[in-house]
Amino acid sequence: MGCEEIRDLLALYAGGESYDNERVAVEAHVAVCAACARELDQYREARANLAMLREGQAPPGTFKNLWSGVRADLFPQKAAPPRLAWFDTALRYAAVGMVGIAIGVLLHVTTRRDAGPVTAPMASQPSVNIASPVQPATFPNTSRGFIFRPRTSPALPRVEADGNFYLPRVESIPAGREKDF
Amino acid sequence: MVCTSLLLLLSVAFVQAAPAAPAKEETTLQKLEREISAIVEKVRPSVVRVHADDLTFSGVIYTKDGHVVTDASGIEHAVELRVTVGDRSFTADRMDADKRTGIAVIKISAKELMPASISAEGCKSGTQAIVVGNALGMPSCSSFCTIGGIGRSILVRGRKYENMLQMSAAVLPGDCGAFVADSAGRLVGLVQSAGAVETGDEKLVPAPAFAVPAAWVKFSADRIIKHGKMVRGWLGASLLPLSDAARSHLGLDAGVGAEVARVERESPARKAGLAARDILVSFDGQSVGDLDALQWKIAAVEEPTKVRIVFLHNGETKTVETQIELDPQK
Repeated sequence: MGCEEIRDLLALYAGGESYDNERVAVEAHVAVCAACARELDQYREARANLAMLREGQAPPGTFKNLWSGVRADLFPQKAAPPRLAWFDTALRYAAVGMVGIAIGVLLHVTTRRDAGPVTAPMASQPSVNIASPVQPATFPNTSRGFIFRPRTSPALPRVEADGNFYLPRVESIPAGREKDF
Repeated sequence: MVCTSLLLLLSVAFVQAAPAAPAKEETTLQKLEREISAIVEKVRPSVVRVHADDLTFSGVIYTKDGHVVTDASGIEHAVELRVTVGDRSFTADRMDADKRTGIAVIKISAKELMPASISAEGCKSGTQAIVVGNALGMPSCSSFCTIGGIGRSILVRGRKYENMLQMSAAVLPGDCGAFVADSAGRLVGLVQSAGAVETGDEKLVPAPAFAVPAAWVKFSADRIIKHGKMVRGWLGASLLPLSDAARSHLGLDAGVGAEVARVERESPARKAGLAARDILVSFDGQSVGDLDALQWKIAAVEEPTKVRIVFLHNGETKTVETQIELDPQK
């Protein structure tokens, strides 16, 4: 997972509310990403501060005054003069067009075929499952539909698996000393 | 005549006085080679090839009755299982797997099997070991290595495995489930994984090989054989060792206490009221400190068992009775 996806999970993780797979992903990521690790610390600190809050009776009228202030902050445009009707319509058409283009690009990226073998120099050798722990049965050899393809790295080329000889790949080595019970 | 006799006597004396030619001594390297070869020969009959549909990897004969231990992920979705012992091939039945250790037990109906001898002492960082497996499908390939670390946690196929042995062995595809032997030819581990690690900037860097330590192989295999399925205790919490400074701040004795890092949903820990950042002080009447010992204690539970736990929650000491459940193996 990338930083953006992990950041969506950090709050859940800090609160002990994440699922197993999310927790493992977060731990693996923060072990190697200082920025996300800092953000996780901030969530933990915030949670610790919130834990110190105590229940009590708010003064009368507090929430009414609070809400009116929030509304003023959220909808300042209400006070602004109305825009031209034709401009709003144009904006809507432009938004629909952008969404259409995005879907087209997504379809193209997810259904395209690879240009050729990733590891040409090793093509004559027996192919082995050295890098990908996922077996070919999970990735049917078809160009139809949505096919997830693991990203290849130029630093350490992956060999296309025929799945003959099995050895799972270590995805990460979490740095923490946390143990599950 | 006298001169001739004197010459003869002198010749005999000279011959007797001459030092005998030194016997050819074995070098240290030759001794090492001989001993490694002997270990490989001892271990080889216990190493089998496991065929899970179109995959081939390794396994180790665990009992004379045909129980074979191997890697759980390799057989997870297999329809047809076969085991090759030497030049004999057998259909295998899946018994069960321990998803926490990644150990699976399969069974073959075969005679004259040579089960592995299991090391009771385990190994430590720096132990010299020999891996015997089926690298790239070639039977009984061996590799000499050093155990570079113990108690490692790794992430494989989205699942976390703890207490792993880190090895410098040249482990190759097909070696999954291979025999890791100590200098006496006893099993100290079962190869699980190797390869490359993805770093934060999504680059792949080489990583060492990892093996499940023999103690946990034995634990999982014995439980599966005894019960016909994996049975182990479960608290549903993750714990962190407590620093001395934190202990001092909380007023705890030296070596006592562990921080709760996470609590699983609908777990015994959650039902007991444990939450992240709590400090577990006592479990079943014993102080919590050595997390390895606690892990063994909880894993050893074979049926739902009530225990009393003491923990600190927001600085307040709580004593709760909760029930350790059987691990749902999710």
